[in-house]
Amino acid sequence: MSSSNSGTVPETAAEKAVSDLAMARFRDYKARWAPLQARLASTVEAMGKEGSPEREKLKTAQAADATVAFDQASDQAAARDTAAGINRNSSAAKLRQAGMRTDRAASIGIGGSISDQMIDDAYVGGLQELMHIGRGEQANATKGIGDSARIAAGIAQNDAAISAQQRAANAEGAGTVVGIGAGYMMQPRRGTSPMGQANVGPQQGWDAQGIPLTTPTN
Amino acid sequence: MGTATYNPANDPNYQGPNMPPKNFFGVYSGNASDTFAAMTRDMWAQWVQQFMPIENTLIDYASDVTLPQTNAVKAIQGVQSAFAQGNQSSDLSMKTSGIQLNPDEKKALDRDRNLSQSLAEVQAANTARTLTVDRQRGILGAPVNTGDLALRGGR
Repeated sequence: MSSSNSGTVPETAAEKAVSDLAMARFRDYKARWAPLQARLASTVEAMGKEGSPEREKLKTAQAADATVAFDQASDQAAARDTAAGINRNSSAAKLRQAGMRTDRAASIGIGGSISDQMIDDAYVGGLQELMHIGRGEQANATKGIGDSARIAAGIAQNDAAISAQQRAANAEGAGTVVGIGAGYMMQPRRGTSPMGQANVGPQQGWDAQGIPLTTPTN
Repeated sequence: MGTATYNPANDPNYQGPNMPPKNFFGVYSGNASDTFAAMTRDMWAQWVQQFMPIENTLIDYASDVTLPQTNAVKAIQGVQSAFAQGNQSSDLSMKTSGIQLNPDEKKALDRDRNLSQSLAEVQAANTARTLTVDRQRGILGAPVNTGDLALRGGR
């Protein structure tokens, strides 16, 4: 830190470099990462919409799985009926076939609802992931406030220190004159307080009676 | 969705980034404190623009008291649609296979279909409602995971 004529303290090269680097990093984030996050957000948003391709795809796949599974089971049941000599036109056989198709419809209906919920889970989960990223950005912004305040506080402290030094320097002449008089008045004498030690030459402390201990001079 | 949440576009007190001027090299002029302050404002503006809408969406989702019922109704409609298609397909299949149902058999089949459809509707609606409530609570930070129970105890 060095003082200027105005009494304020310019930032150090290190502070300037840190702030420039932080700004550069944030600009880089805005240029490269923010668009990706925006694209992810729009993808998640589109997925969550009613009738989105993801919803339809999952429902269709689930319905296809159910259809295949029930058709295989129905074929196996019909084969068992034939092997057992059961007439396929009997009431039992007809109702069993129809009943399996009813079960298939239930499976598709409930499965479709669960598929919908799974997409809702992915939708909300995606939004929450984005918010985790966003909270990081918010934390950075809050940290920025702290950095800014810290630097400002540091500058204020340095300004105050410089000001104090300048004022001390301005008062130095008068202070010297006053100091001479005060020093004379406070010159230590035997049996007095040790406060006037400044005028007694090389000093190493005081004895038990408060008398300064000075280095013997040759 | 639920009630409207904070939107900076509607806030007369909101101040934009208000960046300091750049010098010839494209670097922000001013001292480090000013640069940090400007960057803080810019970061906040970025957050407001990009992430606050997402947060508002989550808040709307979590606070929408009609959503569980809406999802339950949607689930019921899904089951009804599946049964309508399934019954139609079943009737067509029996017809093409030359299977004819007598009145008693038709009555028994209708009863079975109605019973199955009602059960499926209730189960789908309960599952959707429970999972939606769980999701809403999860957003608020208090998940109960009763949806897993609903799924396990379903069929």
